[in-house]
Amino acid sequence: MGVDHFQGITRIASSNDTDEALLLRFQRHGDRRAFDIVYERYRKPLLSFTVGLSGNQAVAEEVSQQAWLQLLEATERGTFTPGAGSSFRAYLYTMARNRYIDDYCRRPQPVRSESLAGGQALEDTLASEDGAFGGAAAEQGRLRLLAALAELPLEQREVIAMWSAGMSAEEVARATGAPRNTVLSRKRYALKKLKESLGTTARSLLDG
Amino acid sequence: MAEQHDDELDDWDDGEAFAGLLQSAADPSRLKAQDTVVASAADAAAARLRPAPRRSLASWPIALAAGLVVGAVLSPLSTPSLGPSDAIPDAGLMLPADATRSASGGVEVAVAEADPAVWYRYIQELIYRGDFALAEAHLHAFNQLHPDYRSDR
Repeated sequence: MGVDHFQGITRIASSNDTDEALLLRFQRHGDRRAFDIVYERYRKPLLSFTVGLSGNQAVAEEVSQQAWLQLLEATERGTFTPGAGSSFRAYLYTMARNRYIDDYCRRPQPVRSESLAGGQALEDTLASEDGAFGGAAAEQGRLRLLAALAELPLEQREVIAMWSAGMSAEEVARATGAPRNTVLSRKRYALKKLKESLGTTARSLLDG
Repeated sequence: MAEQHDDELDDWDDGEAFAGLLQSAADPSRLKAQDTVVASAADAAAARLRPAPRRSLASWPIALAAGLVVGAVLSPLSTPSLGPSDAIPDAGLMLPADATRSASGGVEVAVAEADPAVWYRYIQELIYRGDFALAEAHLHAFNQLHPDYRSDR
């Protein structure tokens, strides 16, 4: 879009604008570019969050998509209101978290198919230069990590997902309705269990 | 030893490297389907959220403006031609039922019995539709039956 063509808009949405400003701009003027900037910012991070939350890629994709659609519905109703002291990121992730709980945790769970095998692949991935999951050879290691996450109780898994997504302890406490000390405790126990489930290299990352 | 690790993990920021690993556990290559769905929903939402464009002065009272202009042109042409002996040329001219819906309950009415305001609006509609021949006939009759009529608009 070279110039704004919506009524009431006096300038072009910028990638320097805050998430909240861009979403309000979309809500008030239907400025598509404003939404696109926000979507691009959170497209991958939200999926990473929902993967950590669910320990399941397919479920994570579904929850992520539903969260975006729910956000669009909120803007259409004019009810997107970034809360005082709460970031858009916390708003979006809390929406996804609630969606996941409503859709997947309040009804019988299908048997998970991820294999707990692949510990060595995870070790190999962690020992690689970038320490991230990239190639096909690392797929088993990725599944191993997802399986380890899936073994955690939901209360601990959601804290780990929010923590790894960069939310503050206070934001996690607000999102989950748990006291801050409880949040810290859940994180501590979750990491302890992950250390037990994963190999020595993962342990070194956890300790680092 | 385990207690020592627990103490170290009390800090919210501890384990940052592992958090980075968790962030890379997702496979974003499978987001294309989501991109399509969200883009489509965003298009629809944006279309509904955009304010309707304001009507320009040129497009708002088209019928009225056209009626006034054409009426102003046609009136001098038709009125002077009428002499005392001229018959009132309204024979057969009727206002259709849909034109009289507000004033006469939607029945066809002879122009001589029609409400002048309703008749005048009907003439404007004829002009707006481009039916100039019929509009001229009605205007001719209108000027004879209501020579002093002034539209309020």
